[in-house]
Amino acid sequence: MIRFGIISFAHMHANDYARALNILHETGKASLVAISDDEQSRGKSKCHDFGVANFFDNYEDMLVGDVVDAVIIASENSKHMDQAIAAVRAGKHIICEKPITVSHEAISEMRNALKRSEKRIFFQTAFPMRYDATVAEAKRTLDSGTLGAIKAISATNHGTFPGGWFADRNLSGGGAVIDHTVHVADLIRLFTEDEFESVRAFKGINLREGVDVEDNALLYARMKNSHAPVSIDCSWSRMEGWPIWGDVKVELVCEKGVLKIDCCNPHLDLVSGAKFSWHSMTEELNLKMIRGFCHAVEAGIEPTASFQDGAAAASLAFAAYKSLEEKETVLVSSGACV
Amino acid sequence: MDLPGQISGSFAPVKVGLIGLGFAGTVLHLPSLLKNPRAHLVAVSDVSEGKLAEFASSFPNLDVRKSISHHSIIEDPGIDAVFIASPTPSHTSIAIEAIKAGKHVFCEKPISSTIEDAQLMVEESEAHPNLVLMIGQVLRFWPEYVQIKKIIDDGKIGKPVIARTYRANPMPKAQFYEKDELSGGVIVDLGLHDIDFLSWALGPVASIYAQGGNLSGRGDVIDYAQIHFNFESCAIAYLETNWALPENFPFSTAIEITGTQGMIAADNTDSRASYQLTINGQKRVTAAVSELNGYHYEQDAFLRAVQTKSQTPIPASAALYSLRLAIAAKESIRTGKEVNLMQVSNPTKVAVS
Repeated sequence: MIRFGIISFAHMHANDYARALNILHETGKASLVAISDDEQSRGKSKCHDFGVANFFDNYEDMLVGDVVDAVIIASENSKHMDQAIAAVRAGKHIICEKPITVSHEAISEMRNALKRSEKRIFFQTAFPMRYDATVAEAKRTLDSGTLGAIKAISATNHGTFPGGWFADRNLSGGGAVIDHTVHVADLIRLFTEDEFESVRAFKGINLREGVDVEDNALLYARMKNSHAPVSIDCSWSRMEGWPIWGDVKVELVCEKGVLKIDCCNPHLDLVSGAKFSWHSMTEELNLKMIRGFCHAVEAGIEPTASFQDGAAAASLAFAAYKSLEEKETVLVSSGACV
Repeated sequence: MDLPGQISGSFAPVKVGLIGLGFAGTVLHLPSLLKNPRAHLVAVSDVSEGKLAEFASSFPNLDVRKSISHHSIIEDPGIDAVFIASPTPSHTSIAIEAIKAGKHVFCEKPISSTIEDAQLMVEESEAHPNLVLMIGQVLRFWPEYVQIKKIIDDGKIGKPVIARTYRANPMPKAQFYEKDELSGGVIVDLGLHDIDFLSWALGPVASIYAQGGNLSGRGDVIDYAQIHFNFESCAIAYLETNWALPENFPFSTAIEITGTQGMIAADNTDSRASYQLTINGQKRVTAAVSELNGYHYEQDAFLRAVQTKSQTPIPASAALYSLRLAIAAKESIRTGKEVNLMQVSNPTKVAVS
C-alpha cells in the first residue's frame, strides 16, 4: 500500500487523482491519506469531499515524518520545482503534473536533487495519454514494422480556454504552448523513439481579449535522427460551446501507410438542458496512470513516463518560446544535464 | 447562388470547345457541360488518339467534333468559349492563343506552371476586357467553402485568428504528377486549392514558412508539405497537403477557422456522409451526396458571365496570387527560411483588435 499526499488542488486534475486514489484504496494498492494546499479553504473542502483526515496548509509539513510515501504535485506550474525538490529531500516518490516545470534552469535543479538523493526516488511525469488504449494500439502497430519508417507527423492538442492561473504567466510559465505542447510532444517521442532537433513557432493575435498569455500557436519541428517534419497545433482554439474540452490527434505518414489517431473521438452525444456535449467514452486514464506508477515503485522499475520524458517534452515548449521571441528556427535542448 | 440554367432562357447557349480529355476534362467538367443548358458542347480535342477514341466510344450519340489539335477549336468561328483542361504547362500558350482569337476562356487550375507565364495571361486578359478569362479555383464555388466564407464575412465567428486546412489524396498514377516541371508537385497541384481559399477568405499573406519534401520516393516532386501562413490581418494558418499515401487512402479534406467569437469547421469524412454503399468484394463508398458540386457552380458562373457580358468570377490576377503563394511555400521548403510576401502592402493598415 502506497500512501499518497496531494500537493495542491490548483490544477483541476487533482480531483481526478483523488477520485482514482480512493478507487485504488479498495484494491489495497494505494490510498490518499493527506492533502496540502496553500489555499486553506479549498484544501479543507477537498479533504471533506474525498474523506481525507490529514490537511496541511504547508506542503513541507506534510513531507515531514512518515505520513506519506509519495506525493502528487498538482499545483501551479511555477511551484512544481520547489515542491518536487522538497519531496525528493524528504524521500517521497513523485507524480508531477505536466509541464514538470517552467524553465531549463528549473529542470536542472530538479534533476540534480534527484541525482543527489541517497534513496531511489521514483518520479513520474503525468502523461496519462501513455495509458490510452488507442495510443497503445498505435505504438504496437508502429513497433510491428508494418508501416515502415515514420516520414512526417502532424499533431493537435486543441483545447478550450482553461482560465484562472493558466493565464497568469508568473504561475503557468506561459499559455497554450507550455500547456498543450507537451502531451503530443511526449506521444511523438514515444512513437518515433527519437528526439526533437529544432523548432520554429508562430502565434496569431489572441482569440480572447484580456488574456496576457498566448492562446494559440503553431509549431513546426524536426526530429533529430529521422529529420521528419512535425507540426503541432497547441491552440486553445476550442471556443465556448464546443462539445468537448479539446482533442489529441496524431497523424503519422509512414513509408508503407498512414496512421491517424483521434484519442478523444469515442463519445456519446449528450444534450442536457440547452447544452450539447460529447460524453467521453475513453477510459479513466489517470486511474491507470497511478496504478502503473504504484506498480513501477513496487517492482523497482522506471515509471512509464519518467522525469526525462517530462523534461524532454517541456524542452520543446521552452524552445518554441525562444523561437517566438527570436522569430527563427531554434535548436531544442535535450533536456539532459546542463 | 443561382442554379444552373435559371436565367438561360433569354440567352443563346454558349458554344463550347473542350481542350483536354484527361481527368479534369472528362471527370470534372464534361458531366456538367453536358447537363448545363447554358452550354452547347461543339468540339473536343486531345493530343492523344487513344483519349479521343475513348471519348467517341463513351458518347457514341454525341454530335461533337473531335480533333487531335486544339488549334481547330480556337480557329473555329462558331465557338464562343474554350475550356482548357490540358496539362498545366500548356495552359498559358493555349489561353493566350484563344484570347487572341476572341474566345472566352475557362482555364483549369493551376493557372500555369510559372509566375512569368501566369503574368502573361493576366496581361493578355487585361488587354481584352470584353472577354472572360476565368481560372477554375473551384473552392470559391464549393458549397461548404462558399458557406464558410459567407459565415466569416457575416461576422459570425468574429475576427478570424487561426485556421487549419487539410487536403490529402494518393499521388495519381500518371507520370505527369511525379515531375516537378509538369505538375509542380503536391503544393501547386493539390494544396493550391486551400492556398487559394485561405487567400480569398483571410486576405493578403505577409509571409510563408513551410517544411516537407519527397516522402514517397516517386519522382522529383514535393509530395508532402506543412505550410504556415502569416496573414497581413495577423491571422495565422496551418495547411497540410499530402500525396505520399497508400493507393487506397480516401480523398480527404478538412478545414477549421477559429475567430474571436466562434469557430466554423468542415470535413469530407465518413462522419458527415449522407450516402454509404457497401457491396461484397467492392470498395466501400461513402459520400456527402449533392447533385450539384463546385464544378457545376464554377462552370455555370463562367457561362453566365459570358452570356451576360459580366466580369470574370475569378480573375487571372487572383489565381496568379495563389500561385505565387504556392511557389513561395516551395521556396521555403528548399531554403528552410520564412518567405516574406509583404511586397508593396503597408503593414500599418492591419487592425490588431
